[in-house]
Amino acid sequence: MEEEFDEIEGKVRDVIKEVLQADDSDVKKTATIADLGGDSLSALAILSALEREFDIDIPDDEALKIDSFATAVEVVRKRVN
Amino acid sequence: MDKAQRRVVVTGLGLITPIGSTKDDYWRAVTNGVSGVRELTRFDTSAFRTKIAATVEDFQPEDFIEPKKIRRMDRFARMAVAATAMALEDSGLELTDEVKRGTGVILGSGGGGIISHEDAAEALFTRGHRHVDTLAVALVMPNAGSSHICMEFGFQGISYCLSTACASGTHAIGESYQKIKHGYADIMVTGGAEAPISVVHFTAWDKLRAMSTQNDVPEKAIKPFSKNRDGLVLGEGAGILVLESLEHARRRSARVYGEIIGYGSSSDAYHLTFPNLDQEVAAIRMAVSDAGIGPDEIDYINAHGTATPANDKVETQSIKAVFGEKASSIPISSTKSMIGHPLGAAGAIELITCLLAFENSFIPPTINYEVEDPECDLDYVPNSGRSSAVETAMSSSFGFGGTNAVLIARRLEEAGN
Repeated sequence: MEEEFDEIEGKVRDVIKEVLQADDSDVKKTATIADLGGDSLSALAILSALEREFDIDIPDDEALKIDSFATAVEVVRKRVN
Repeated sequence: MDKAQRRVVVTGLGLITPIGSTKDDYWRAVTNGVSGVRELTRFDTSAFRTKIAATVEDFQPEDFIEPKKIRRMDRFARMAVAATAMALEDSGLELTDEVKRGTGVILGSGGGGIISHEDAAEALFTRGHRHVDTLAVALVMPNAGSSHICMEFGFQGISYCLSTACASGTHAIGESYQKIKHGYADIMVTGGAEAPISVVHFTAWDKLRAMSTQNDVPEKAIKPFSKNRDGLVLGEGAGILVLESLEHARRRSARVYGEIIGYGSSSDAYHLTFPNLDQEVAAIRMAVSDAGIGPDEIDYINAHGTATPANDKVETQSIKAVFGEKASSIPISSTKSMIGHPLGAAGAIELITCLLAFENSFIPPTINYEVEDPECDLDYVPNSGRSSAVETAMSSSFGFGGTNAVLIARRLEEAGN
């Protein structure tokens, strides 16, 4: 069954897809960066791409939390809303 | 040339640092715990997380180099040439034709002419083709530093640049030591030079989140081995050493700062930026083995000590792995707590610090040590230097890309000097 993505989730999915060169179907809501073949440098690249996409600044303590689709969405949501 | 192994000594020192650009000024500052970190004003930092750097403010290239030549050198090459001029004067080496023919130069630099590259790009993108410097190629090339040293002083031996990020200076000295040890040269001029504080490069470091954001208290920003450390601070400068075979130095009755007795180098084959314990240990063990000493003979370690969370923790583990129970009784200090991180120049300035520690029987501190970290639980000579004879010192550098280099130097006994 197709997962439903809201606007923020959709954009986060696109960012992760772009950085990790992943397929749409792989970036599920439960996916971790490691699952998708990423490492700590990929996480840093995703972080930077999220700051650009949403025009937000993510501080270091929050940045360290980003290791999956869900944590990325959580960190972004806190700053966009 | 005699290929039997020869002893290698250091006979001249020159440096340019954010806390002093003569040997005496530097030593006074580094023993008194002076910080070279200040607000960065060379470009607009309003968008940056980090707004501080360890900059050299008192360097006047025209004190060392003709004005016409200054325009043909990037800042890193100017610093390399100036530090070489000071090192040669310090060595008392007479530049005869024979000396010039045989002297080699290996210079470490992580980035080479970064500022000139950015100047050329800025000129092209904002003002157009007509405005790019006709000498941009020669300003930018990483070997400009070693080549300008050769041109300025007439050295005709082997000459190259070596680039292993933050380990460049240490590798350059190690490779030069081997050249003399194995009989390929009698004299080598070596060390590192770096001028990385330009806007694009600084932005790149900012994006990496490896730099401290203690912008309100620049002089307290770099806190190696302290639990509240939050990253390195970018620096700039040069450190140059004149190396000679012991025979050559004795023949001319040169003053000897110390002997280089060990060099070890390894590659992590692991990660672009994260340190690797096993290969740091391998490099240290290789240096100790090359020196032909027991690990218990090291009585001072000048650490890589960048103040990033990962480096200081892994470096502490590597020292413990090699030195075992003795680790906690070896004084360890981070010169970077004061001079910041001048990348490819760091290892050279740090080995010079070890040699000056021999001469002055004094161990410089690690400043800004504030909070104990259970993962960094050795003697980091916190906040105040201490008087102590130093006989044998180790200096370590661990660079991005997984490049590890370790040097061991020893004070030469008076009787043999």
